[in-house]
Amino acid sequence: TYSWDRETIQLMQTLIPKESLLFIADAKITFDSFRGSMVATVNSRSIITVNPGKKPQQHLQKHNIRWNETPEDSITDVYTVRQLKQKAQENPEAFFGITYSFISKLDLDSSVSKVIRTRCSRCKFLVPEDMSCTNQLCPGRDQVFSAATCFDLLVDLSDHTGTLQACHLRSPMAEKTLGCTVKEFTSLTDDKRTKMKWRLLLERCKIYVKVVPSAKIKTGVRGTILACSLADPGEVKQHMSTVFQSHV
Amino acid sequence: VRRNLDKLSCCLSVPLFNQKKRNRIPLTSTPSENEFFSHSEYMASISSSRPPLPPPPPVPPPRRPSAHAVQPQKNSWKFTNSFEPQRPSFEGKRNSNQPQTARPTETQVEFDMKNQGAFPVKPAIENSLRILTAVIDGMRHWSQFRDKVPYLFEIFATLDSAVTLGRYGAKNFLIRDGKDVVQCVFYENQVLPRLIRGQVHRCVGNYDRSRDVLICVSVRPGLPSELRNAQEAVKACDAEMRLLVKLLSEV
Repeated sequence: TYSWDRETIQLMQTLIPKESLLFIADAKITFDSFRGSMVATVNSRSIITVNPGKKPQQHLQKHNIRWNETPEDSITDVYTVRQLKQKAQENPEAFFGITYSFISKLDLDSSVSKVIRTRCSRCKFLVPEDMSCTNQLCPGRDQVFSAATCFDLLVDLSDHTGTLQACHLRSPMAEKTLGCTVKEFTSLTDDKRTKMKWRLLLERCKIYVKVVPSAKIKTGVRGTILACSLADPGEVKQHMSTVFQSHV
Repeated sequence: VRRNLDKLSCCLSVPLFNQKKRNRIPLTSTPSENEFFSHSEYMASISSSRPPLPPPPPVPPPRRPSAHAVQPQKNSWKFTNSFEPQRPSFEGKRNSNQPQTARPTETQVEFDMKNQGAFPVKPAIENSLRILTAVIDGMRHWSQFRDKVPYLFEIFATLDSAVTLGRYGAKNFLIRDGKDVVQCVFYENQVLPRLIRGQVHRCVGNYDRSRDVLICVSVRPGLPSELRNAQEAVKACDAEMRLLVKLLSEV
C-alpha cells in the first residue's frame, strides 16, 4: 500500500519543473507491475535535498550529466552570422556557438512590455499581467497563482555577413548581460535605460548563442542568447584573422 | 519563364510555369466587402501608420522605422532601435529608387529546385543589415553598392576638428585617418561623450554618399586595444565586400 506523505507532497509542490535539482537518499526502488518498470518511492526513511551544493553537482559532472553548466565551459566554436544561418539550414538539430557580432537592435527604452514579461512560477508559461495561469497542464493550477516577472527581449545580432534577427534574451542571462535585476530595471528612468541601451547597442559583443532551425519562423532560424558581453578586441582580432584566412 | 530578380532583394521561389496565386475566396463570402478598401479607407490607414515627423534636419538621417518603432512621447529626436532597411512607404528614405517589392530577408534561400537542372540556380545574396569595419577611403568605395545591400560602417579615426553645434541639435565634426577626412554629423539626443581633438574615436553610422557625410549614431573614444584590432577587421570586411561585389556583378 502507498502512504502519501503530506509533507513530501507539499515539498514537491514548491519545486519548479526543469529547474529544481533534487538529491534523494534512500529511495525505495521496486518493480511496479502496473507501470511495468522500476519505480523509486520516497518513504519515511528517504531524505530529499533540494538544490544540493557542490558535491552532488561534481558527481553529475563526473557522469557527464550536464547541470547548470555555464555556456563558457562547453561552447567553443566561433561563427559569423552567415555561418550560423548556413549551419541551421543544413542541420535539423539545434547547435551552440559563439559569434563576435554587433547588437543591432536592443529595445530597452521603448515600451516595457518589450523587455519584461510575466511567467507562471510553476510552468513558466507567459501570462498576461494579474491573471492566473492559462496553461491546462500547469502543475500549480489548483494553488494560489504565483508569477515571476522576467526579462524577455528580442535582440538582433549583426556582423559583416548579415543579421540574425529576433534572438531571445531572457532571464537569467539578461540580468548578467544588462547588469541589473528586473526590479532595478523597472525603476530606472528613461534616460538611464537609454544609457544602458547604448552601452551595448552597436558595440561588438561576444555572444554565446543556441541556434534552432525552425520551420515556424519566416527566417527559418531562431537564436537564443546564452551569454553576452562586450567583446575583447584581442579575441575579435583572432576571429577576424581566421575569417580573413577563409576568404583567401 | 521570366525570373524577376528585382535587384536580388526578394528570395522567393521562382514561379515556374507562370503559376499565379489565385485568391481562394469561399463562394459564400462577398469579396467586395472583405477584400477591398475603398480608396478613402486605404489612404486613412496609410496616413495613420506614419509616425509624426520632427522638423527636417539639414541632412536627412537614415531613419529606419520598423513596425514597432514608436516614438510618441518626446518631442526630441529619439533614434529608432532598429537599423533594418525601411519599408518603401515611409517618408524620409534616402534611396527613392528602391523597388517597391524590396523586402529585407534574412536567409540565403536557394531558388526553387523543383526543376533541378532546368535553370542555373544561384544562391540569393544575403540582404539583411551588415556592419562593416572600414577606413574612410574604403567606406567611400563600398558605399556605391549601398542601395543593393544595407550596411552601417564602423570607423576608427582621429577627431580633426572642434565639435560644432548645428541646426536641430546636430553636432558636426571632422574625422581623419591618414590622408582621408570625412565630415560627421551626430543627431542622437543622448549626451555625446567628451570628444578630444587629436584622439582616436570610434564612429558607427550610415554614410551618405550624395553629401559625403557620415551620419553617426554612435560616437565614443576608441580603446587602444580596439585600434590594434581594427586593421584585421577591416581586412576581413574588405574581403567580404569584394566577394559581395563579385556576386552582384554576376547577376
